[in-house]
Amino acid sequence: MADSQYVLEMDKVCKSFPGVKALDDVTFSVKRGDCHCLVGQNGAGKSTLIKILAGAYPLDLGVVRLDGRKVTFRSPDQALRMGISVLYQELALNPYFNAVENIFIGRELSNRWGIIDYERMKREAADLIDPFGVHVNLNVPIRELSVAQQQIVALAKALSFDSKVVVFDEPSAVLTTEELERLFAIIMRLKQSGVTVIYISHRLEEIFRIGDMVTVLRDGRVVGTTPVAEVTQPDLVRMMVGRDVGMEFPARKGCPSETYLEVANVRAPGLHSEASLVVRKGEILGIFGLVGSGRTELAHAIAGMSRVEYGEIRLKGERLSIQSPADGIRKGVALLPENRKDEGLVLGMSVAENTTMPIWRRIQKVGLLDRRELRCVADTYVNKLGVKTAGLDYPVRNLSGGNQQKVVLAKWLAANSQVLILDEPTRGVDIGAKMEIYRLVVDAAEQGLGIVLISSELGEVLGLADRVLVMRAGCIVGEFDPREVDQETILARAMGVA
Amino acid sequence: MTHDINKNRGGLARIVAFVREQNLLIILIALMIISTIASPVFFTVTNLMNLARQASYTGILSIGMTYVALTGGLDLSVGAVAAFGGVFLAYMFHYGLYSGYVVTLSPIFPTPVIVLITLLSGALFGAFNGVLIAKAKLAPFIVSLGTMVAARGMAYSLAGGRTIFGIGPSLEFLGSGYVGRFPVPVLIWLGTALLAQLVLRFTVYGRRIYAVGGDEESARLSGVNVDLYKISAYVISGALAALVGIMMAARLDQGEPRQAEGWELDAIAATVIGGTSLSGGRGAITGTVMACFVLATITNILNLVGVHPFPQQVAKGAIIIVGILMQGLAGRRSKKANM
Amino acid sequence: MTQFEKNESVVTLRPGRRTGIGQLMLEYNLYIILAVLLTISSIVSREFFTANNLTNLLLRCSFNGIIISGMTFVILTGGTDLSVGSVFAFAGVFLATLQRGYFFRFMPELTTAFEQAGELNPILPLPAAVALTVVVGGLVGLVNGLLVTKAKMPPFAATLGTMVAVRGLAFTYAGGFPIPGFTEGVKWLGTGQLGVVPVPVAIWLVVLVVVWVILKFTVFGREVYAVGGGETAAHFSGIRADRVKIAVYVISGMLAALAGVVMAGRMNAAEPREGAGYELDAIAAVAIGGTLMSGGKGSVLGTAAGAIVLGLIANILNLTNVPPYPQQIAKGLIILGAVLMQRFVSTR
Repeated sequence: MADSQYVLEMDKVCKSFPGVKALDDVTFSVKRGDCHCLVGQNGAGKSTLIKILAGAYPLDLGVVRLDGRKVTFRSPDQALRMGISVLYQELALNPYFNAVENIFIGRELSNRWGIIDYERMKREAADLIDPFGVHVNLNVPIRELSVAQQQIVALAKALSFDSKVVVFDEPSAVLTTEELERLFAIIMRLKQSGVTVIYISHRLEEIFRIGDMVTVLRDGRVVGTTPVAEVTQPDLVRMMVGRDVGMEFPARKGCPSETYLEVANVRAPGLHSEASLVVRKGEILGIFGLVGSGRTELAHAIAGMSRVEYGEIRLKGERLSIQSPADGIRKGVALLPENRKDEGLVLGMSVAENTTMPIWRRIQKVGLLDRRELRCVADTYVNKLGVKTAGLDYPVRNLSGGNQQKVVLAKWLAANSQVLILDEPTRGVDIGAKMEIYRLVVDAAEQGLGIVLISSELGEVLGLADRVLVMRAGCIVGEFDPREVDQETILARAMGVA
Repeated sequence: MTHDINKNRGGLARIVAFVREQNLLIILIALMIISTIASPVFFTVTNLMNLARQASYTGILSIGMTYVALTGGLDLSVGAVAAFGGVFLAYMFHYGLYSGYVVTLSPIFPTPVIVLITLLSGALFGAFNGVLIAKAKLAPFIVSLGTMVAARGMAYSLAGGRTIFGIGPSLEFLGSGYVGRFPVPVLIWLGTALLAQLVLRFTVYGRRIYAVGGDEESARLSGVNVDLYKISAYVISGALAALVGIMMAARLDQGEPRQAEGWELDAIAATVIGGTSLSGGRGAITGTVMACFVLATITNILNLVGVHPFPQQVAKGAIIIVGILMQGLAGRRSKKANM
Repeated sequence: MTQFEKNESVVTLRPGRRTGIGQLMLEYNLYIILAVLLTISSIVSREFFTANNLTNLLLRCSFNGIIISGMTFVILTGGTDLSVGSVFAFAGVFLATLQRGYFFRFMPELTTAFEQAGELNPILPLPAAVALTVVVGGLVGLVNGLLVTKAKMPPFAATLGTMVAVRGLAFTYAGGFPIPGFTEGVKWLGTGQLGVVPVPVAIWLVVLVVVWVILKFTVFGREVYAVGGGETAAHFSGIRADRVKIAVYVISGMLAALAGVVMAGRMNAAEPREGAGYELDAIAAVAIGGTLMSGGKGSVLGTAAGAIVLGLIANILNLTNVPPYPQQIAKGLIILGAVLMQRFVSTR
């Protein structure tokens, strides 16, 4: 077995999180010296798969074989020592350390007295970084470097382990074209020296540049594995999206009427040009953009989480001055935040309390919380939205992702919001709950709310929205009618390819 | 905005950056100048040496505290452990093999062994703290608070609630000796500080202390045994606290369970003012030492110009707040520059 | 997506609540300990269950009890207040100066401070004087709150600064020595009796009930829990987190001042040295009482039980003639044991 042509094999691997089956019976083999690409939409299970490979998660079922031998990683450094190094999307770097120190954490070069040999470390670090052809200041803390420079440091660190398998988790998201070319050159060189590369990316054209094999994941399952030479880009998209995705969205009846929310020439932290948009009563405005495109920053500026530097926000023609989320909520502008567990819910508190949190001050009587009213309101919305919970007093921590998200929605409906901004409402939610959330969003629009739907799942933006804005690099870069546009066009615009 | 800020720094900006980074040094020099003008006594060798000696005890405690803070922790027990160390040392000088505890000196062990055992006892307290914090994942604040109360109780119990008088001449040099014009405690302090700083800067061990505090996750992912380094920081802090206890006992020729009450807070203040962040990963012993000097100089000059100790304390509190605020602002500024 | 999965893995560590007797025992472990301790005490000492001893026990707990009622608010938001011991001392001194007819007294001749303490000459009626003192305590809390929220200082560091400064202020105000002698009204606050109940205990009970009602039934109370349980989520849900945090430090300062007033009445002297280390006792009692140091979970009744547990242990050790110093060792170990147990409960 040791001379098997596969350096890495995953056999019938399963992994579940509460409420989500992240990997379902995944079988996946990587040939030695290949560049094997993994593609799939958000939530398809790519990151979970990587984390299992890296030893960050234990697997529920199945076997991982390295060089034909069964391996069980109990911790990341074990995987590292066995020859698998991972370059994560979120870089695991110490912000206060400089590049050299970051590369050598845990394996510092020293003489026999434990005195660090900075000169040698610096030389070796320079040797690792130089091939990228990018100037990286080795002497300043990593947090003073640009994101691309940080990425290169992380890359150099991953390469410094002399690993058999190097996993790249969306390395291209923050690199410029030039930097990307250098990365490709490095990957080629790695392949020549016998290292196996697993490459994950949203950008299909990259796969055709460097990939030998490609595996498509969808909803935690392997859809197929083929040599890159035998597929076309549309084939891959079809495999990623699935055939009948478009059919599953609830139908819209009502049509948008008068203007509700107007955002005019707004500048705010994280936005690199003035943003303007309009949301009408009963309309779902989709905003599509990749991670870091400024969509969350725009949402925060509108809902009062960050300061609007200049520009105007008007609701039904009335100019709003929103200084804080509390102001926004009072005026009827609410945000369902991207990070449900830190920003959306107080996990230790009950369903009833979370549902009514924004209106506590409205249902008080001489400072005392009107518990009967509170439970009554909570009960109404929990039933209306079909939140599956053991009771109103049950802590939301114990709810599944989908039900948690419904509690956040219930909260904003209970607060009588007029404009609801949804930032990735279906992130980390299983398919069934997704469908229910879609229905709730459409219902809300039918009832006359103005809705802004931010998502990096193209399918849901196109399926739900009446109009779609595309954001890239802190700017709004286009507006489309979802009935007249295909996924590729929007994706291309969001990536700045076309 | 995200680019290398060092590249396009102008001359003025460089000066501003220098002032911000070295604010403590500048404050210290300014203070020295003001003090020299305000009091003719200030800039005399005797006074400066006195100042340094007064600073040396909390100075040593704050070295250990800096190590602990660099890992993202806190050690409230150092004052109590110092008191215990002093009492334990004195006790061993009075404990005969056949007689038990007696008023006269009757040590079983030679002095170096006694000193070593005392240091070990301090390290043991530290290990206790460290294990509970790193392994049981308890809050450092509450763990070291518990240890603080217990260690103080042990100091009192061992001493029977009184002071143990007399530890003999064998440690006199340690407490009140001079090398040239330098008091021995000052030399011990600065020597320890130098060593501690060199270890932090130049050894694998030191860099890993920073690695653990700066980003625990990345350290763990890189295969660093995070718990071990955390525990070791508390062990160092405990041992240094015991060292302070030994030095105090040697200076006063007694083991006093009341000793070093509240010093842990002084040590924490010096550490934070010295620029070490309580959330870990950033800071250095040099800053801590300078902060100790700043605090001691302020006390000294207020004394010399005849300000009563009570208002001095008000000033001290205000200085702690201002000092910490300043470090916070400096930290935030440089953070902003790279977001 | 990555973030989501990270969070999910946290959830897997906390499966659904256990039910039944085991859960009940874990949930109410503190009260069980309390009951066990009471039983042990009545067995080992015949004096224990005398009215005299029990009132004494409560009396001794009451000062710390009042302070920690305020501290509970602060810790529920995830903060700490180290300045309570100093505020406690300063309040007594401040009231003493008020009782002598001036608002501010700066360093009389120190050597003769005792004589200079002067005659009683209250310029304010007692309720007004006490109210003013409590307000001054609240002002210290306000400074803490502003440092923590607006200047974004870590609560530990900020309140450490005010702790030192206010202690210095207490010494400065008092001229370094205790100021003896209060009016009858103040003395009554510390030594009076309402039936069989000593006034300090009565005050503690009133504070306890008020705080309990605030935390349990008012919007503000729930906001305190929400801010401690998830500050960003609370902020995003329209709770003005900064205001809530400032308010808790103000409350903590006010209650520490109230406790200081009562103590001054009890001693019939304002002692600037009083209350050193009370902040640590208070934090220990809150932690033993099951309030999470990181905030969001806990109750003031638990805190009160924590204070009584500490008092009870001291009481038993006293009654069984354990010398005072080993008692302290026991206290330290009990603090550690209690938080360890809490840890055990919360990871179950």
